[in-house]
Amino acid sequence: MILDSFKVHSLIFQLQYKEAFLLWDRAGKIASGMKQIWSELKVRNGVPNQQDLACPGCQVSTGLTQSTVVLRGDNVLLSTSLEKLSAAFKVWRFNLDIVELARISARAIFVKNFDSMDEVKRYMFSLAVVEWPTQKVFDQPIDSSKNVPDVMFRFEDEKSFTFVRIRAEERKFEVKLDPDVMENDIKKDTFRVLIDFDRGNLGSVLTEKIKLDEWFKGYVHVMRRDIDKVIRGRS
Amino acid sequence: MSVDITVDLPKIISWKTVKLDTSGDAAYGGTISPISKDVVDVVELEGSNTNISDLTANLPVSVRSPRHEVPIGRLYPQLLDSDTSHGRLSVLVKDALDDCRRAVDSYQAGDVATIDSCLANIAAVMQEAYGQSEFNDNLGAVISFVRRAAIAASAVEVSLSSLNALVNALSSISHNPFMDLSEAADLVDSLSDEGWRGEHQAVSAMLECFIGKSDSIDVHQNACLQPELFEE
Repeated sequence: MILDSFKVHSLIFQLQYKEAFLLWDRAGKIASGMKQIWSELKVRNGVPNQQDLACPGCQVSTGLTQSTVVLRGDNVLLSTSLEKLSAAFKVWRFNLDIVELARISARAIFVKNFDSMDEVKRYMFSLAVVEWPTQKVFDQPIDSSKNVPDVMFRFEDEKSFTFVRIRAEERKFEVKLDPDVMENDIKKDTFRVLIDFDRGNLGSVLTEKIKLDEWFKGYVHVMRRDIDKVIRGRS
Repeated sequence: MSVDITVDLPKIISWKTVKLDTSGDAAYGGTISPISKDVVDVVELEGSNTNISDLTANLPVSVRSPRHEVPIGRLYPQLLDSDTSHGRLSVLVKDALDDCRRAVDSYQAGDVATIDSCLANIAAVMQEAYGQSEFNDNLGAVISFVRRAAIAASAVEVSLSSLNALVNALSSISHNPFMDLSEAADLVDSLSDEGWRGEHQAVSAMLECFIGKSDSIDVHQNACLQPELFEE
């Protein structure tokens, strides 16, 4: 499976629901509940319709109609992380009195690092997702390092959706510090391919019927079962 | 479905960073946070390209979703996959449900032999289904009860209402394989109320011992009960 050669980068879990006005009364209790799950969370932003808590590797946003957890790290699909997401779901469900969801979804992002953009491009072209032109098109230089495919597959209907996106990325990271701290700036360039798997359910989902651990089992199950049918190497 | 709605959302999912230049982002309108002196991670999730506007974490909150109930097979796709224990159990429960419905038809036709055959099939299928129910002990308890009840029942003793109760129970199992303890208990009670005898003999005897009834079965002396304790 193609994902076996990728590392998990992050997981985003999101709920959407009708206006949960109890947010205005219970923001503190929700924040306390989340801090019991991720003890290092600190308040990043707080306005009546949304509160954001964050710590290294985790961000929790609770809103009037949408709440999100973002986890970062290569263990975000393991049971320990998913148990914490289940606990967060319960905090939202009981404190906001959410009976019904309009949407529940999760997005897992996987990365594969390379040493150069040329390697990234060779890898991308080796995948059977797109036919890259062999001649100059649109008056764009054919040898530009930024020429890469960025492909998204959308599978959706009124009950659920699955979006799969594969793209290349070059990231230039630069830190300028006080010369008294460090004489030279820190610079780092990374070159990577990202696979972005976003799946969710739409419509009326009763929260009492949701077993989040089983929901994530289904999420991982279909991802691992079918990803190679969408993205695979050329034979 | 793609809805192009532009909503000026606060930056809720990005951390502060120092100067960061990521290729390709300029085409999407940029996701780079304001430069700051803090050195922390960046999670790049925002984009103004409408193709990715309904990605999780990007969807404008004003988009309305349809209000129909999501089928259980869509919420838990593993139920539909015969390669998983969930999927195999779903198939077995459907088989038992078909047998039970056949028993109802046979009752109305007065065909006692077919009722007996259906009950035997249900017991056999439930035995196999129990082996696939490890993901939910509550479900396993109900399946075990149905198996024992089907073994204990005879065609001449069942009634139409008891068979209908069994149809309802199997249908509930099919639609709610992740039932909790109270739901499982309600199902067992509904079957017991209609005359199905699915209590585990050894468990009942143990409970009687613990409660201390003097006329209870002597578990220590009754050797045939011993294997029952470890049967499953």
